[in-house]
Amino acid sequence: MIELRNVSKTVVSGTEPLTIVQPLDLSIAAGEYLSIVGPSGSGKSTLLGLIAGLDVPTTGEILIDGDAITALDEDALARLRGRKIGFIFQFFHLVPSLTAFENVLVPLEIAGAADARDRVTALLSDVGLEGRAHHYPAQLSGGEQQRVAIARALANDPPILLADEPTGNLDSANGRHVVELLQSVNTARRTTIVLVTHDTELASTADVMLRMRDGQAERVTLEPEREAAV
Amino acid sequence: MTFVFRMVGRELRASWRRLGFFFVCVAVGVGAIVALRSVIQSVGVAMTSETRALTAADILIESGQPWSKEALALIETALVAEPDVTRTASIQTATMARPADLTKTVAKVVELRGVEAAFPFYGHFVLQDDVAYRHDLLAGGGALVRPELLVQLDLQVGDDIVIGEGTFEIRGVILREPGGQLGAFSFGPRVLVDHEDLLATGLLGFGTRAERQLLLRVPDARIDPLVRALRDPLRDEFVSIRSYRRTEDRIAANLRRAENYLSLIGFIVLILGGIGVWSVTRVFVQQRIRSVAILKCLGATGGQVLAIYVTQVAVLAVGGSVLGVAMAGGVMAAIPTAVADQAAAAAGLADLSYGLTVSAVTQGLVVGIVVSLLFALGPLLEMRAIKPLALLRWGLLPAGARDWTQIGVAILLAGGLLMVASWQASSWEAGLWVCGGFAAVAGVLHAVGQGLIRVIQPLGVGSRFAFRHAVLNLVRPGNQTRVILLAVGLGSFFIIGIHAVQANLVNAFALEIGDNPPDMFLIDIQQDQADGVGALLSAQTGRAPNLLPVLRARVTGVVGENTTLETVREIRRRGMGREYTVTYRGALEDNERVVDGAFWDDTPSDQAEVSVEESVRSRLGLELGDTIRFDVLGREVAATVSSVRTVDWDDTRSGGFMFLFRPGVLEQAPHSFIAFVRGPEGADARARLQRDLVAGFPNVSVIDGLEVIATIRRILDSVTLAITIVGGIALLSGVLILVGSVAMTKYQRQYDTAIFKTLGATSRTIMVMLVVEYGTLGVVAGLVGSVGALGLTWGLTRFLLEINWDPAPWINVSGLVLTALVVGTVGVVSSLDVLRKKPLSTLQAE
Amino acid sequence: MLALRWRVAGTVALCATLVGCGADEPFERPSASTAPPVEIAATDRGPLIVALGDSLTAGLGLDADQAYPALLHRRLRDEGYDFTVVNAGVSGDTSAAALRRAEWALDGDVCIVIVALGGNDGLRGLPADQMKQNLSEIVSMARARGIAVLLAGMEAPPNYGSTYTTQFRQVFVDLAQEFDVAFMPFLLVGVAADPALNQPDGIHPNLDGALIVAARVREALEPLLPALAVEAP
Repeated sequence: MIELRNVSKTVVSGTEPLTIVQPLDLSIAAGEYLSIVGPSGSGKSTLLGLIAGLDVPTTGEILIDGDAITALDEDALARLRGRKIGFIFQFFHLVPSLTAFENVLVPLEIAGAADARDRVTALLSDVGLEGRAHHYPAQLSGGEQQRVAIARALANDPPILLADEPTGNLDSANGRHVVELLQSVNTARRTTIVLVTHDTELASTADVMLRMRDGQAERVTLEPEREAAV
Repeated sequence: MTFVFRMVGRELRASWRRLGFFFVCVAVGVGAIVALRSVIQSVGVAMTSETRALTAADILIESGQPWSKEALALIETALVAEPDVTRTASIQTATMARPADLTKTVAKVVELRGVEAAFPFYGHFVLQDDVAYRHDLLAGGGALVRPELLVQLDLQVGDDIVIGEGTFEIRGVILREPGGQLGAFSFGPRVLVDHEDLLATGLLGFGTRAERQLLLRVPDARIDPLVRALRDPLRDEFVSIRSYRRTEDRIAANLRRAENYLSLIGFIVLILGGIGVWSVTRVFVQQRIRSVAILKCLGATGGQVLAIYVTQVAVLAVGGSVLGVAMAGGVMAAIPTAVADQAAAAAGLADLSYGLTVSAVTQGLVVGIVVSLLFALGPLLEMRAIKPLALLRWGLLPAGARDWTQIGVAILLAGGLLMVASWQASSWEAGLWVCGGFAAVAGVLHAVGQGLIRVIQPLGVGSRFAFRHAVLNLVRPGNQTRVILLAVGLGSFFIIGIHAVQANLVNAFALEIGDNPPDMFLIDIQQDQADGVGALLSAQTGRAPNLLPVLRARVTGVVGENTTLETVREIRRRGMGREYTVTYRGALEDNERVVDGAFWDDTPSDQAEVSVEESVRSRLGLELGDTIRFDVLGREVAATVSSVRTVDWDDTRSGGFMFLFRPGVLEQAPHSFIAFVRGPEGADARARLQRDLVAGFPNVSVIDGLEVIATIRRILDSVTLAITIVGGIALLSGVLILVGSVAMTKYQRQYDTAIFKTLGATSRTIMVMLVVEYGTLGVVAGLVGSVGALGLTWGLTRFLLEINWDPAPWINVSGLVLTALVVGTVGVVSSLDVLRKKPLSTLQAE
Repeated sequence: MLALRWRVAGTVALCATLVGCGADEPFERPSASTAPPVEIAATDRGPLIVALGDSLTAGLGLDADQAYPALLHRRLRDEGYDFTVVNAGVSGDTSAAALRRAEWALDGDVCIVIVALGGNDGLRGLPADQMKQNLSEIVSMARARGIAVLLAGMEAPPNYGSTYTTQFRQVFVDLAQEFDVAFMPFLLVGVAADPALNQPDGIHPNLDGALIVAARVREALEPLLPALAVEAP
């Protein structure tokens, strides 16, 4: 359960204050699959950063499972992320000095999970990378890297998964594969997913779509038949 | 915690190649410290044993008169409390020795010394024909003599000589003698006999001029306390007490200088190593920004992240330090062969062992690890400021907000440095000079960095592509301009500084000795003897001697523009009441410089003119043209002050005179000459010269300083060699460290380079870009460094080493050029692999 | 003059030269304040008594007016004599050096010369016959100028052995006889080797010692004075 109350973000660019996210109230239910679409610079990535606690809102507060994350310090936020939030990035952001297996292992180790290694093996096989576990990121294709990233994001079985343009760097086949993975995660694990993309088609795979333009967010209700068509 | 260790292991495994740089940097720094400390300690030990050998004891108690009951009682009282003190007595006196064979009637003044079996506590006798010294050679009427005496008295080993009431058998010939005391020049050659035998000669009657000595061997830690304990109660007795460390002669001062210099180098190398580590860590951290952000995104806390990298640094520091010790061992092992020839020349080096000392190794390890961590802590703490948001927005570098932790670390770092300073440079003064110089140069470099960016910014518009981009690279925020400026500037500051100080010091030592130092000193040559003595010396030494006329004169009055002094009392009040030795000549000596007025030409004048030393001018408040009245042997001579000179008192091979007269007046006054000559080689030739001099000019006394000069030369040579070795190691490691810090910046550049290549820039263009960029940095850093080094050298020579400052401009200029060359070359060469690599692989790797 | 002095002197000198101590006076410790000559107003100059000597005469380590010639001068004045005693002592002078400057020193209205030399010869163990030669030339020169001579003897330090010290002592005795001059066998009689009367170097008299020397010299001058006496005012 994610709740945004009157959240806005204003930065000072040069001398002009620039509002990137206009005041916004938003509630994302547990297990909901929300997509945020909009052109570049519309504020969608900023919004995602705010939800993840990576950035601090200018006004308002953000609650995750009823706790105001805006009140937490860096380390508390880090621990919260480790427990509750998985991340997927456009540029994958795997740790280059770690193998695929170790990249997935890291969040489990941070959380102190007991059966970490078995779970990593399972996760890698879930994303279809059994054979690539001991390759370094540089030895993997973009699609493979992103699948490692997804496995890593899911490692602690977080209730929330945040994805920032996860297919932006992939060809359509790999992109589709990633989308399917996300959908199955949402269905199978009841994971709340917030997906940021500029691709309306991808966005429409979600339960709910939020369209952003010049910092304004507008909720778009999707037609059930379109949902069925995908 | 296991997570932290696992991460450390993985990172080290994956990026060992890059970390290798860091590793090597630490190793070079630690290696330099260990090697230098070891040399310094060995030299210290050698110097200590040399200085100890000068007195042959730890403490020397001397009296020119027979020991009084009171003095002996006081000495006993002080020694009762010192169970570990060993002592031996010695007596030294000038006396006459003549052959027992009465057909040989010549008598000769000798310097007789009586010693006991325990003598010497330190140092060794070297006797002719490799005979080992033992007291048996003296006991029961034996004597050891200098070779000159044999020649002068026409004697051989086995013959008898008569001294006072005693007859002694010559049992050996002394070539080198410990405890000879550099300061004590004598009118005759040494004769060494047993202490008891000397007492039996009957020479020590009432009124005898003899020096009674008590030599003490004392545990190191007790030396100074015991000296104090003795001095205080014996204040009223005519007794002198000194430790071997307090020998108040020039040689001790020079050894102290060398020690100061060496410990200073140890300290500076430490800072250099620290700078290297610091700049490497910075790059290391910058490369890890993304990984840190990811780890934070995955839930790692700031503490965990810090722990991961601090541990990595610690592991590398330990490894690097160990490697450094190994390297130092290798270097030290190489030294003896490298300097074998010189070592053979400077026989004193035989005592000098170039091995690693345990304390140097410990020190190196501790310093390597502590300094790595201290210097790395700053950049590592920046990691705390890395926000995971960087993963969403590229280019978000840590904000410039004031971070109190970092300021705290800076203070910790400064404090740590000072602590290490006090440890390494045993002198706080030296530490302060270096730290002050460090801070000043760092400040200047920072300002220059800012200034440089501002000044060259306009150049970034309109010029050629390569040039423009070089400028843009220099001014772009977050680039390496300031880092390189700081690292290279400080580096060249210290390297050039060390080298210039070394040149100054070695120069000072060379001055002390000179190439052909005079080793015979003749006094009391009368005017009518001057030609004869001169001819004899020329014939036997092969060089025309320099005879210095000396007269005694007192200042009795001054009639001047500002000062008029009528009475002797007034003169005395100005501290000029004593009798001065004056001379006259037509030209300046090398160690003199006229600072005011004009020096006379070579023609004599019957108008008395005098050139005064600077200090005389200030004491008497003189102006040019003032008149000084002198009393020269009862006659008044009024001389006009026509010039003011400075005299380099450190270089008095030609003597130094407060008052120097123009030729033409004093020639008429009775005076004598002194002469400094380089005597002929070989004991026989020297003895013959002395004999002939005494035969022809009986009043002339010859003081032979050969052995003294040889000792001084031996010590200074080995010290100079040690200093050169140390300076060389410091220079080499300094350059290596600089190379390391510059080379490291290539990792920041390779992405840009790849993009430029993708966009069609040729390797040539990129090369030009690199040359301009690194060349500019090198020139600016070298400039600041060499100017700073001038200041450092000035301060150190003047205040710490107390020697003359020679700005040695060529060192600074070549230092500047070399810095620019090194930075330019290393900058370009280290980027060559990037140039050769296909851009795609670089881009993908990023 | 003398022994210790010479040791130190040689040390400083060589050290200054070879090792570069930076002292300008090869013969003397820089700290020693030597006695400047007695200041005599030009109008006040009576007939001269010249004290030709070494550092014992120069008053090494004493103030100008504490050297024995100055004390002698005052003493003579107090007694009503019009003499001016000139200090012609040069520290470090041997008999050979003094011979060379005797002409310079004896220039002017000199009526008596006090020859107090030999200390440095003895300290350096210079040949006694050479010293005798030098001193006899000095005495002859004075004689030739009609100057009365007081010869003050000196002792060589015992460390040179009795052969030398005996020879040395005999030089003065012989000279006094040969030239039939006023003679005091030892300048420092009653002063030498008494710590209370000497400076810490054990060689040079302190003020108390110098007073005794002046008194002894005054006594030794007695035979020369009547002939020259100027009426006491």
